[in-house]
Amino acid sequence: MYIIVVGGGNVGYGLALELQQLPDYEVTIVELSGSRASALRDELGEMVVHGDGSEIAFLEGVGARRAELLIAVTADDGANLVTAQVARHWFKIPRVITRVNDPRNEALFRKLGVDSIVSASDAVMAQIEATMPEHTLVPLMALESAGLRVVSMRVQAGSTAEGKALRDLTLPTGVLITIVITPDGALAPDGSTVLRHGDEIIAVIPREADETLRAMVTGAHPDDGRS
Amino acid sequence: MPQSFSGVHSILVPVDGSEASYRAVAVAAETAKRAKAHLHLIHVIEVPRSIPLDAPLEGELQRGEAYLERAEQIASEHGVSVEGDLVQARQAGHAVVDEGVERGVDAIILGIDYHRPFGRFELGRLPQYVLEHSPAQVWLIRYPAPDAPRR
Repeated sequence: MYIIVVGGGNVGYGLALELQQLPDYEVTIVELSGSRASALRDELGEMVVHGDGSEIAFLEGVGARRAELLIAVTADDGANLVTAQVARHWFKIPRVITRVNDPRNEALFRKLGVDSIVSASDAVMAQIEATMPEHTLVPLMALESAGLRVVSMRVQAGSTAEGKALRDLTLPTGVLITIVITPDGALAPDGSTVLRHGDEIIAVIPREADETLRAMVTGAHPDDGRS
Repeated sequence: MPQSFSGVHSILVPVDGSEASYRAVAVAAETAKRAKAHLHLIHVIEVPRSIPLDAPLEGELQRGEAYLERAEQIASEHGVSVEGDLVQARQAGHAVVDEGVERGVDAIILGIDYHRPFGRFELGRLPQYVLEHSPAQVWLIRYPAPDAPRR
């Protein structure tokens, strides 16, 4: 698999270190700054290329037409957005992952059809929420093209869901509970699966179902917090 | 040519089909013979990133074989038997330095042309990279330009 990483900052560098260890992966890192590219090349070798990853001609030259994945992780949201658009619509790269530095730009990225967005603030928030899980719904993964998210929740005592079988719960439309993790291990639930206090639920949900599901499983009031 | 070759037990010469690179082979072969050193030849096919690194490049492979054959012939005329290697890489400089490190060579000998593309002498990308990054000795062989006035 051929992967192009645009942006040789700390994120791009870390990705390159991980990806180059995987067999059958070929990685090119594109870095705009000449001095940074040179420093990276000293360590990572010929996988590093100096140039502007948002330019069509340049991306053509580094093999964007045969890339299966492009990851835009510069510190510049504008550059990331342009790179993602060019990758997606000009080169038809099947998978494009984009970093959003400023959370205020997330909506714009979504509106413009960027299918996979990584937000540093969301990632940190998920880590924080995972450490105080009483009333939280932890986003694990965004499936932007389908408008869905994979989330994790823990069933709380006294919540609507506690002690009930899944078939007896009126789940919001589009919610798919895929895994229930109990003290005995993970199981693929069916309608007869009864949720107990402390069980962890992994679910695929539409974004608009966040608050209703969180209230049902954790007992939180819809206005209690964010997700 | 240096009279002392202490510490030189293994030499690498990149061959690109230029007369300068063949002259470097001749110098390297003569040096290897006197120093009883091993001689290695390499031709690097630079593969554009628009195609996979291991893409079959018949034309380039045939050309590379021909370059190496001539270089081997030159070495043989100096009494040194050697077989060259063909390598596909994104950048020749990286490949030459990597090959040198992998083979543990003590010296890389480069033949360079007399380039004055914009009225100023330019070393070229490969020598520049090898000079900067090779942990081994680097010898540059530059003969006068063919049209250089004799003094």
